[in-house]
Amino acid sequence: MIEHLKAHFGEDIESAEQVGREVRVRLRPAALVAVCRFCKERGYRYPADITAVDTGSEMRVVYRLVSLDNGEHAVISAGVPRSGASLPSITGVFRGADWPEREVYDLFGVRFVSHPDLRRILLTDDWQGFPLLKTGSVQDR
Amino acid sequence: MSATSTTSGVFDRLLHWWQAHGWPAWIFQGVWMIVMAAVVTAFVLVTVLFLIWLERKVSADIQSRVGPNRVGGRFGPLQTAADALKLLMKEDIIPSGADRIVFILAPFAVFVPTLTVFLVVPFSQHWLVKDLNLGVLFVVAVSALPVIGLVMGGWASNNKYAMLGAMRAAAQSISYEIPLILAMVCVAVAAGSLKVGDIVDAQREGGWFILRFPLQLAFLLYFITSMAEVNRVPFDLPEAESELVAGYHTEYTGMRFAVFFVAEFAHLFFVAAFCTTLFLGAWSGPALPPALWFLLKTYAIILIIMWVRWTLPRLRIDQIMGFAWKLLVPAALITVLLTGLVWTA
Amino acid sequence: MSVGLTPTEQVILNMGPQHPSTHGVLRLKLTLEGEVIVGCDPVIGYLHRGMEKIAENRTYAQFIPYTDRLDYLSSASNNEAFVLAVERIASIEVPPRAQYLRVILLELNRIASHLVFVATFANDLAATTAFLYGFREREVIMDLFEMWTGARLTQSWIRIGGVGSDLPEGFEKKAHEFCRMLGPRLAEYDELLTGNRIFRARTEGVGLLPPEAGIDYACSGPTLRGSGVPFDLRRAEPYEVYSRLGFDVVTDEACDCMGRYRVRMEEMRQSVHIIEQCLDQLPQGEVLAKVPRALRPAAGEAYGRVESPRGEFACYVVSDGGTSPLRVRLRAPSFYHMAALPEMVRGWKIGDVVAILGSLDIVLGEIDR
Repeated sequence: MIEHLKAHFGEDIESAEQVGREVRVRLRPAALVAVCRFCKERGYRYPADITAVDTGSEMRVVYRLVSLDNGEHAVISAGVPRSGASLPSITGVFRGADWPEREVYDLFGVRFVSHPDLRRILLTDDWQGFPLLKTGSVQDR
Repeated sequence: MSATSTTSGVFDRLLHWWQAHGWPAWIFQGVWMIVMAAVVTAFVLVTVLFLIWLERKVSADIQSRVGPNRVGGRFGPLQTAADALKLLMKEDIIPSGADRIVFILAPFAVFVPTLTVFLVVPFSQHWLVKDLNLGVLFVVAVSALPVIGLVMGGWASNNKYAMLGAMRAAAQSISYEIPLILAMVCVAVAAGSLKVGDIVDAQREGGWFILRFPLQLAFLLYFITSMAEVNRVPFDLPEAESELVAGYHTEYTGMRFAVFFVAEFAHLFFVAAFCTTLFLGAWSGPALPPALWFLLKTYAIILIIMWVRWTLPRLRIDQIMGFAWKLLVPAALITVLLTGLVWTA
Repeated sequence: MSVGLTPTEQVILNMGPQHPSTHGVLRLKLTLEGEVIVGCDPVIGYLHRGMEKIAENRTYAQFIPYTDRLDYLSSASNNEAFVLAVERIASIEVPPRAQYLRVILLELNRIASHLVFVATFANDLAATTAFLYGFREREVIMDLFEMWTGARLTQSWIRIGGVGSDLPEGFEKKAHEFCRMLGPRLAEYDELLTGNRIFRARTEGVGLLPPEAGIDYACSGPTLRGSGVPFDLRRAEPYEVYSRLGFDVVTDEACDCMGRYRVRMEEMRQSVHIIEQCLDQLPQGEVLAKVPRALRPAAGEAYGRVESPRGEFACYVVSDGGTSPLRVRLRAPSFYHMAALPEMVRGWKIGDVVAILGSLDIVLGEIDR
């Protein structure tokens, strides 16, 4: 799988390694939609989870696509800036990406371009700020 | 001469005694009407109190629970009275924007006809307020009136869901009236009369109607449609709480709500009582006093209705309507045909 | 509002957040044309408590009781997912006896959760008596939990490295009794519900979820298995001792509410079978590995997946070597099922929303976190 990805996407794949049943890939945001579609066509049809991790120094959005046939996880990470982040939406590839992307927007402030209905999902509509970022405050007033 | 005389025997003797003193008849008639109304109302209210308690105990038993067991002793007999008292003390809220007059009248538009039909129920040989010549027709006509009250309640509440519930209730009521009336027609054909007294006599002579073919079908039809008329599960969508809050009586609180509630149970008792009259021979039966027979049979029907209510799930509105029109109406028509054939043969 | 003859006006109807049948604080904005639903916008977040943020300020052991409160009807599954992830990062081995005890706890939670499902699903369709029967059976399980862990609902008994304590005296006997009792009771439910004409009319063919849509929305558990997809994490990615236990993955081809209901009914029987096997095979030994009080796992990440009664419940834990996790992501199955709800209710009537929502068996605690 890793060879296929590297062959197909070349430079866009920043790093790829196999850890147990996970194929961990780090890529450039521009290639996100294409890579996800590539994986879906190869059997990784179950979009188990989409979330973000803010380590304080850098932030990445993590997509976990699972193959129901061989049980492997394709864990795709895209690095994003901690403010003003934006990524292409993969709702065109997976309908199930709609809500998780809304949640990442709600809690981390990552905007998903061409998402059909990007609005807050867990917090109230008038909430200021993005709580899960490591900024030290939960709500900006 | 009908064996079921009415209180008219008593009425006539008292009237003669009254007129013998030179007092005008109309005063006595007026007093009599008021007394009868009071007796009927009192009886119905006491019965309803008992029925609510019974419902709670029966449902508890079916559900592995105990039911009321504190108020007034181990069996909680005063529970209903306590609840009624509670309802009386609640704040009376009339929604803003509601049509006040209609809102206030609606519960009574439901309650009064429900009480009125008790005039033709033969509790015993001599306990029948008025044996109208058109007894069955009277019941049919007056039973149709509460629907108006329902729609009044839903409309006057100024509430989308109440209106929706009221419309559904009206549609359901009207649809199920047709097989109901047809079932009663079968009994009228079998008895050869619309008079309640004649219906009871026909059963005393020839056996209870439920035992005579094809009236078992009529009984079944009557039983099912009456559950729909009283808005009980499986036909309780108009007031289903899990669907749209509480249907047509969403906005009613306190005593007004109590009136709706009492009307529902009064109606339940009535349909069971009338079922007993039409199919189970009313008060006829050996050994025991007739009134006791009547009550026993009525309560047997009530217990079965309660049993059904706590066992079955609820139908959806289109399923309820489909059931009425596609199954019950044709079945009712066939039953009328069969009854006619059997009784004229 | 136009009712009846000209049903072309679209009406927005609000269900909830206080509603007897939304199983928690959920708001559904339904767009109706007449009685038919043309759109549904679920509004969630009424129960959001910021669990993921809290996790970053607690030690690993301290966070376990928080996980209980996510899917509170089956709290052990939440504990398990979190603990699996942490044990993988910290390379902690769980003693065999503890593994069996965990499975017993998990399967009892599964039965308890499915009993609540049957009870509330039937109650929404007005079969009120089934509600009480379901809870009556569940009381026996609650007694078992209380006997073992001291808590009825949120046990927090699955700890890092094992379980909180061993089985008390008399537990095995009572558990066996329960397993024997449940079978006939489930047969009773079958008589009252599964075969009932009215129940079937309300659930058969209603709320269809085609398998491809189910996979695309990342549905799991009985929701996906009720559409014929044999995906069960206990077989796909076995954890604890599931690979040593014999049980069937229950699927149903119907794709409707009835299919999902039947899957859960059968799963209860399978769980009884699993529990009996565990009680028979239970080895001697410790129930908790030696784990430092203030655990500092190595830097790394892990994704702990568990087959909860609702589906795939998973914890994605990222550690930076400190006593608190850097990030804990709680992946709740009901969240994804809710996302699929608008598509499932479109074209149905208001009365069906209750049945379809009920058949998904959601818990707001895990949706909102």
